[in-house]
Amino acid sequence: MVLLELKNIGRRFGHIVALKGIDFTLEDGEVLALLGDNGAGKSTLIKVITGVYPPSEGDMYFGDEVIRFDSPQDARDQGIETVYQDLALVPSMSISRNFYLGRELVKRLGPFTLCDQAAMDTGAAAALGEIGIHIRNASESVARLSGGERQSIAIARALHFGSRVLILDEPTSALSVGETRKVLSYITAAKKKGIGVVFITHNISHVFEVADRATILSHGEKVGDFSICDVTQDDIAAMVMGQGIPEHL
Amino acid sequence: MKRYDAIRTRLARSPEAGAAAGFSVIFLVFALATPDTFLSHSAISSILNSQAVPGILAIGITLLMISGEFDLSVGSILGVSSLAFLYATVNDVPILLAAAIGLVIGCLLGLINGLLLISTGIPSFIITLGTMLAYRAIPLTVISGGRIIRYADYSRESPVLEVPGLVFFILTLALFFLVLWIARDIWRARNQSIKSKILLAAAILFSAYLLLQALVPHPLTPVKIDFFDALNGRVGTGNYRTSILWWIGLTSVFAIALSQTRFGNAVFATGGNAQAARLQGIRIDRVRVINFVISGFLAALAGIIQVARLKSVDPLRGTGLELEVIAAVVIGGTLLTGGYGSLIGSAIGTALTGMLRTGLVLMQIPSNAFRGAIGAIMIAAVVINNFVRKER
Ligand SMILES: Nc1ncnc2c1ncn2[C@@H]1O[C@H](COP(=O)(O)OP(=O)(O)O)[C@@H](O)[C@H]1O
Ligand SMILES: [Mg+2]
Repeated sequence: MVLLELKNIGRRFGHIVALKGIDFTLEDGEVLALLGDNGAGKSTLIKVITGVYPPSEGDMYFGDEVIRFDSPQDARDQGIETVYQDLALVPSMSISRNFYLGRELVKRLGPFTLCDQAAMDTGAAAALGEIGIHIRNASESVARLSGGERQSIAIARALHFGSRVLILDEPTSALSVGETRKVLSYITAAKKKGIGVVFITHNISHVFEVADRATILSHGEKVGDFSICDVTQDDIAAMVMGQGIPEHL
Repeated sequence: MKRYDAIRTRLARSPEAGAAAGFSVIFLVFALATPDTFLSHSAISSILNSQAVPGILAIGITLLMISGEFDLSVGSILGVSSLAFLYATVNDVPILLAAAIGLVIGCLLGLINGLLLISTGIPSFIITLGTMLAYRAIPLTVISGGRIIRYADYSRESPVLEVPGLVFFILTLALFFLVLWIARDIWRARNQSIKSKILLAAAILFSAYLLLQALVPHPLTPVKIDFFDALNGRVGTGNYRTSILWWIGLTSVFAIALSQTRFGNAVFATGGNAQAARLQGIRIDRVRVINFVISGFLAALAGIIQVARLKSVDPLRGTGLELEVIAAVVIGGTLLTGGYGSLIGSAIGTALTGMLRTGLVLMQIPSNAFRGAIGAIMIAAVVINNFVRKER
């Protein structure tokens, strides 16, 4: 079933045209690789989907309804969870505060609502442990963590909260080989749960490992959609590098 | 060595640690240099009385600074609100309404700061530098020629609030039930030791006792409250004033809000990494505007509390206060760059600046040296805080 559909989406920044005439679909239980050279518009496209940059033109459908996300909160409320390329953690805050940022666990104290810090510390540690990330202390500040640890936390957070769509923008760029393998296995696990996954990467062999389909962008326009069974790694590489659709396709 | 490291990390995690240490050292120096005068009720009360107003301003400044913003206009807002409050009072506006007018004006001026910030994107340092000058023009034009408006010139009685007995009865009872309600939720929370349950029961019994104390002498007779005394009058027979209680109370409430609520989290996130906060669904513009409104409100409240003691307003009321308060907040460990800080630290920083002023006078050092001392201490505080923070 089609989960998310974009029709003729365009996005401008002043007079820079970042996206033009993009059609895009995502089904539930599918892994879609979103590919393209640097500056092709991949990150902009997912930020349109998640309400960071409302589109300048075009329509978006979620389920069967026309939908419009005006803020990242709107998209999160629909179960769309994202690991942004620029990570989206607040370094000066603790791991658990980052994990639950914007949806804190609370306790009631008479008429007042306070954060339940203890529950968030254990909750964050448990959610991270569930996918094999073991932290010393959930109340430790993120500023002390390595790039890979930070990326793991952002991914764990998205996996924990994403109920319908999971978007990963170059999630493995700061990770070791072992950690990368884990992320690929989370993607497969999410797919099995019926979650639609959008996976942005520059690593074409990863695409062939986990993706069902690939959508390729070049200079803000769509080159095409391809089922992974129908193309070779060389075909994809050629299209990503802007050489157009190979003749045999 | 290990133990030392652990202590150092622990200290580094609390922004107020540096200020607390500095406070202790300076306190000791004055106490040793002039033990008879410095360690007297008159000196300590004069320090606390004079710092209550800047201390209340410091709350708003701290919230704003943690969310990455500046407010240079608080002194001017204080001036405008003080004027509005006193002007309304001497023109026979009921005292509570006059106070409400002052507070609403403070909120509005803060709102203007916030809206200018989010609509123009200009740094708040520049915006509030502009509004600091613009808001100051209001008292300067309304009170012509350096005149001072004095409450006494209108030969009014001190305003007295008469609370009907029944209203007082209901309010007191409501407060008691609020205590019970909160106590019930604490009681139910997980991991409660027997000791804390006993403490809780004791707290409930104590507030029940206070309730009886309040209600028994006033069986449905009106209760008279001197408005000025409630805001800034002497407590008992000493020289300590109620404004100190307002300072402590407001600092406590906002400190809990900052460290324990979702709003507080949003404030830290907005200042720590605004873009990341936005991507996690925090409405950063709303956080900023709310903080400017809070800052305006507190400036107005501080102004009214000050008028309650001085019973006059001059056109320059509050001038220069913003810089003294910002210095105190920075001494208190809050980072100018946002995302890190504490209200307890700001309270300590404010007390420290007041202590310095009084202490230098007692040591018979010319009062102008005070500014130099504050400047030097602020720079030292930043250097020390930067060093300690690396260990965080
Ligand atoms: N906020 C912005 N303002 C102006 N231009 C932008 C903005 N975001 C992206 N762009 C432009 O849009 C284009 C696509 O960028 P991006 O989506 O980040 O590419 P990719 O993620 O595929 O590398 C680039 O030319 C970039 O400069
Ligand atoms: Mg990108």
